[in-house]
Amino acid sequence: MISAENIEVIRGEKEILKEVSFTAKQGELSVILGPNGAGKSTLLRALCGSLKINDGSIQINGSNMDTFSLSELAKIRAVMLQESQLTFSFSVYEVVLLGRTPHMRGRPNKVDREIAEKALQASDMIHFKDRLYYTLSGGEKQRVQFSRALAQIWERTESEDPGFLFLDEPVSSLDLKHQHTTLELAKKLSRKNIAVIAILHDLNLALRYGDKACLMKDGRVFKNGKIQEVLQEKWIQKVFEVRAKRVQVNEKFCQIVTEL
Amino acid sequence: MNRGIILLPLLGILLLFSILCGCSFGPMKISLASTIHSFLEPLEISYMDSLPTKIESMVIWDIRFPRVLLGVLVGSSLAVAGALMQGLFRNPLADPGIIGVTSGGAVGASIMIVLGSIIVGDEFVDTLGAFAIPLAAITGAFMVTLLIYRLSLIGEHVDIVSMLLIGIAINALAGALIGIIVFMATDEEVRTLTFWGLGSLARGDWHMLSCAAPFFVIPLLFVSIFSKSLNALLLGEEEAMHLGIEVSKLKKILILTTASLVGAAVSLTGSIGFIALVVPHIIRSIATSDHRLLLPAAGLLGASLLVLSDIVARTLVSPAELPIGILTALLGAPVFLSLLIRRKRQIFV
Repeated sequence: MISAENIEVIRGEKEILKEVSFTAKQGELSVILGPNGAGKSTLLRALCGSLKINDGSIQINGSNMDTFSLSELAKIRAVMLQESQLTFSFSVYEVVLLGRTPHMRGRPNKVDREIAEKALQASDMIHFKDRLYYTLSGGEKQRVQFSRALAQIWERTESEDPGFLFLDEPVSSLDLKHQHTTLELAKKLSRKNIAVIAILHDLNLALRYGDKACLMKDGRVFKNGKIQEVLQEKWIQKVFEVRAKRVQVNEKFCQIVTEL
Repeated sequence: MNRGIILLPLLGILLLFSILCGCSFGPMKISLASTIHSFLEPLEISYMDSLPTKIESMVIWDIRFPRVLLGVLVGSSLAVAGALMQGLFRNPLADPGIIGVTSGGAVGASIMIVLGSIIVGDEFVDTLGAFAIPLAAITGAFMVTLLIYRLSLIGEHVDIVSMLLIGIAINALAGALIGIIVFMATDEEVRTLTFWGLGSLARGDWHMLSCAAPFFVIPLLFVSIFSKSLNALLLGEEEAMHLGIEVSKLKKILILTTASLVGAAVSLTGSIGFIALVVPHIIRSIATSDHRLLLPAAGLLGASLLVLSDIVARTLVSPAELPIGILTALLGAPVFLSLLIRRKRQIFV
């Protein structure tokens, strides 16, 4: 479990996060939602430890995050940021192997290579294994980065110890099919002892795959809770400043239709 | 990855071949067979009829071999320093020359050549002897590196863009300083400055080699420890941090290592360009960007390239000698351009 309590992030004069509390558990896919500049990415960075918080505390499995070293953190949590720049000629397979860095002593061993293959298979990129990373399209790169993050915490899906997967807009460049397959995979991982925390923009994808949602506005948490309760028409209208209507498609799913 | 199994031995053979050629070519021609024999002599192995004469042995052991070894050390240091810098900046076009380390060394050396006796006193210069200029160059390289590092530190992070821009400013400043120094210099000093500025391996002898070797060999030996971290750093600083790499610490070590390698190289041979830029490029395009292979391969190829260039520099206008910096630039610039074109094609086709 990871929980942030009343965290505050100040950069220069600006308070980017104010009194933000957030909890994510294994077995759940938590979605962070909100308009541009609401502080979603900042919250994600604070939770994964790459950004210093000015106030408040973050606990991972009950211990303060400051007590973890970078390499300890790297063994239990993986982060996928928005498109990663890599100008050197690495193959797709080599990029995914980089995800095994925290587990390697020097060279990747047989286990590392097997995990890299499995992670590539999981995101449907195994056929691109030998392609050079920088020749891929934006969406393909995103799927490779997803595989890399997955390879980093692969063992956690098979063990009792919980792991964490942070995703910053993981489907922003993907086609429709892969938006669904990627989030389906994220959801499956959340059922295998991984707490998945994802920033999403598409409310319908969030509604469909998320278990919990944290709706943010102006650096504060606006609503926090089960996804069905958070994504109500009135809250969407307040936070995103659009008119919203929930339409029941069948017994299981509903769609959110928005307009200005 | 498997290419390493072939690549490293091939590059090793190329280096051995280069060293043998470097010892046998020159104004006085010595056959390859005699050269090989001359190297086997101390081991008391004798299997050929072409025994080297006494003079040939002397030329090989006292003149050519130390010069070739200097080429090996400087060539591999420059190539490895280039690979490290490019990894640090995550840009294949980065070069120790760009961040101003080379210029810092050049300024230090120039000051010592022209103003040394005024600044530190004749006596001190005499005590340092042949090491006055090298020490000044190493000091200059370190000072520039520290200055750039301090200025580009924002919070706890080294800001790469400011670092590159400050490097450009330092280079301009260094150019102006060297201009002033040249203006103040006597005719004889100007000749030393010019020759030194364009680079030459002519100063290689055993004494100099034995004193300078630690500056090269120690960084070269421990640099491979950072291969894994450097690979992760290519994904980005934040990504590397998420993979458990202590990025700030890594960057400090990389900067100091590069300063030592480049400073020592500049001090002994002057500014030899393009090795640091071209050699890592060649390895990346024929084999891999994986630093576990890139660093040793670049070291081997850099050494061979510099030794072979030196042969051409020595023999082309013999008995005179071309400054080797001119030659590496002539060889390096077109290779660099063709690499750029190849790269472009790979991306757009």
